[in-house]
Amino acid sequence: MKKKTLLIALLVLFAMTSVSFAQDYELVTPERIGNPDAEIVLTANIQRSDTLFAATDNRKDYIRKAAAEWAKAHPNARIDVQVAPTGQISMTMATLLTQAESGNAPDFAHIDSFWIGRFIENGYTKSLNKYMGEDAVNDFFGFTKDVVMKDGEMHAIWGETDARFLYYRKDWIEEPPRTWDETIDLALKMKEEKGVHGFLAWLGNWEGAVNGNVWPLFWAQDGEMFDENGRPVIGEGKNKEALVNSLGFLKRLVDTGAAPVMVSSITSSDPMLAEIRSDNVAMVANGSWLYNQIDDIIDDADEKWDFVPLPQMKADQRANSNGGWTWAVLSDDPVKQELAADYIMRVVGSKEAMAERTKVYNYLPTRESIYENDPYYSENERMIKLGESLEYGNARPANSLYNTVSELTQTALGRLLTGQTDDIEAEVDEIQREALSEWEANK
Amino acid sequence: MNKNIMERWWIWVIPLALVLGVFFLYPLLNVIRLSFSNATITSIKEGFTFENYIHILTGSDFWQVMKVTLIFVFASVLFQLLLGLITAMLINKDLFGSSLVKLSMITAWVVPGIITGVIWSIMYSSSSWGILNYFIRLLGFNQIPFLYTPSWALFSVVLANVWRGTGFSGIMQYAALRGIPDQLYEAASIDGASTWQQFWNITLPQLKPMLMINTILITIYTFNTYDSIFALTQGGPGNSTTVLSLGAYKQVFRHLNLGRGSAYAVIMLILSGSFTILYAGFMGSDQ
Repeated sequence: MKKKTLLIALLVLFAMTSVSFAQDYELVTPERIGNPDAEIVLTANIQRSDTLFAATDNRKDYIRKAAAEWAKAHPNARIDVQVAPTGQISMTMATLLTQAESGNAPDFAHIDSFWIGRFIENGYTKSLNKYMGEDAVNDFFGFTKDVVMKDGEMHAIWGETDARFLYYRKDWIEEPPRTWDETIDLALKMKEEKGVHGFLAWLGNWEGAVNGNVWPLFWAQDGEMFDENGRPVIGEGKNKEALVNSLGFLKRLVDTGAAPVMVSSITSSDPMLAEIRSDNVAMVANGSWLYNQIDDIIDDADEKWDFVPLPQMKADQRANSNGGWTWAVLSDDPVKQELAADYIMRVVGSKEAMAERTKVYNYLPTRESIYENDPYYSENERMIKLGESLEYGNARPANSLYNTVSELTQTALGRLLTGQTDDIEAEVDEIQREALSEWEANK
Repeated sequence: MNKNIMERWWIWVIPLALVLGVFFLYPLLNVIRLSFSNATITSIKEGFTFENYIHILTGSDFWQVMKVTLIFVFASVLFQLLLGLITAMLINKDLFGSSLVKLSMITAWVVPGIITGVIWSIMYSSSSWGILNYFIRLLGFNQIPFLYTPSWALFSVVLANVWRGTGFSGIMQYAALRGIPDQLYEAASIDGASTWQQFWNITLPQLKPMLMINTILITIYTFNTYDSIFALTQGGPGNSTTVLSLGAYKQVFRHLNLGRGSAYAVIMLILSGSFTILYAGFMGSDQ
């Protein structure tokens, strides 16, 4: 009888410990983080890539581990995850803005860096300073703080970034170009000698075309889109000149045949990677993510490809354009604010989390100290080069008219590249006229 | 008891009226109201203004967008009707494999617009993996710039839309063809009518009601299409493939301008309504 009782007790104990082990595993599911029976329930809108729906196993493993740590630290709380639909950034951001306006926003959210300004401007985001500490706030690169800081308070954590470069075939090109004229000459030379595309970039009708290929050239000439009152000035004075020059260079690339007119329809890396794989292109302007993609598709990437800063009008000019995603707390409840901020710091924002996450995701960290202290970033030549480029970083302005200016510039670029017009000045005047009319209607 | 319920017709009408009112009439009236306001996603300002319509109608690219929209709608509707009719008549002959053709037609129609755009962007690509250009090069011709010259880009988005919509049009017309009594054709044959005369005097008149419904539905559907264009060209190059519905989408979800986006939607509604009335008049009031 005693034996039987002991056996039952052991079985019960085994079952209980099994449940306990199983609970650890179940702490993070694709749509829930934490104890399912928790008293405090937070909601979060997160991009698919930062949930257990992420595309690769190493990303899923990272999220599972980091989110579980938060869940263990807060057994009385859980996060219900709203997974944002893939490829619907504008729609997701517009929905979040509507929810925030009507008081139904999730407690925290993953917000594209060129949308976060609108959330901060409208007062939907909460300060994170007290949850981060001053040192952490100061550690972020200046271009991120230009957007997410308001009155000395950090309103969102810019979790990762990227940068734009000129990738070139180092086995064909001895001296990579530093100016626009050198780029066109070299592209034409490659086209003639090797029979390949001289230069490729994604210049189709989309945000990436201007963010990757117009703004870095525009900013390098000290161009500004808006004045301190938020009034569009992109088509006035020296700004007009900078934009005319930048669009003129891209038009010249196509008009001279240095780049094929096909670039006016490219809106993703895939067509360029296809040409890279077929040894059919000499230079490609694209983001910091491209190097790993090249490494994935060709065996001898290190021997064939290298990257340098984007060529500018003059050799001594330099500017970059940097994207990425931010995380902001939208809840009015102080308890939830603290819990949400803790999740963001544990998974994205702390030094340790950012260093680990950016390695797994092939992103660039936005905290300067990581480039100094983490050997992966401080000892790797390629990472050092990428980190240095962030010194010249620029973020798209947090002005609610940015999308209008961007859209108008994309349309003008398409018209210029495909020969629908040759009058660059008139196109820039039209951008200014339209943007100004929007500003006057909304002020 | 039963008679009483049948006499109380409003019991049956109320649920329908509620559904129509809540899900169709209210949003419609709200869109019209918003189109006369300067509402944005983050602020619904009160007040009445014609500013949205004035801005759209006097904008430098409005007539270009209108021209592109009309070409897109007219070409799509024409070819979807014609190809749908031809396909319907062929599968009505119960030829070998007609079931497979019917299935394929439905499949093309149910594919989401974004997927249609992605599929056709692979077909049209000028890169080494572009399917159509691969065969064109194989035949010794120069590759075609399907997506990066304005006229080819417009042709390409129309072709993708025709591919997508022909299935629906064909199935509708096939259903109508099945409903035409065989005796009519037998009687015409006895009277010595040729195949063409049978088509012209029996098939077409019998198809007329369905053709009108089909034309109206395809027209409205095409006016509202933006997803496949968005995935294929995003309205470019320049604004050479920007249609009204894409303009509305961009106004609301990129510029966050609810007022102007709603004004675009009302213009689309007026155009769709006008075409519906025009078709109804053209095809006869008896239909």
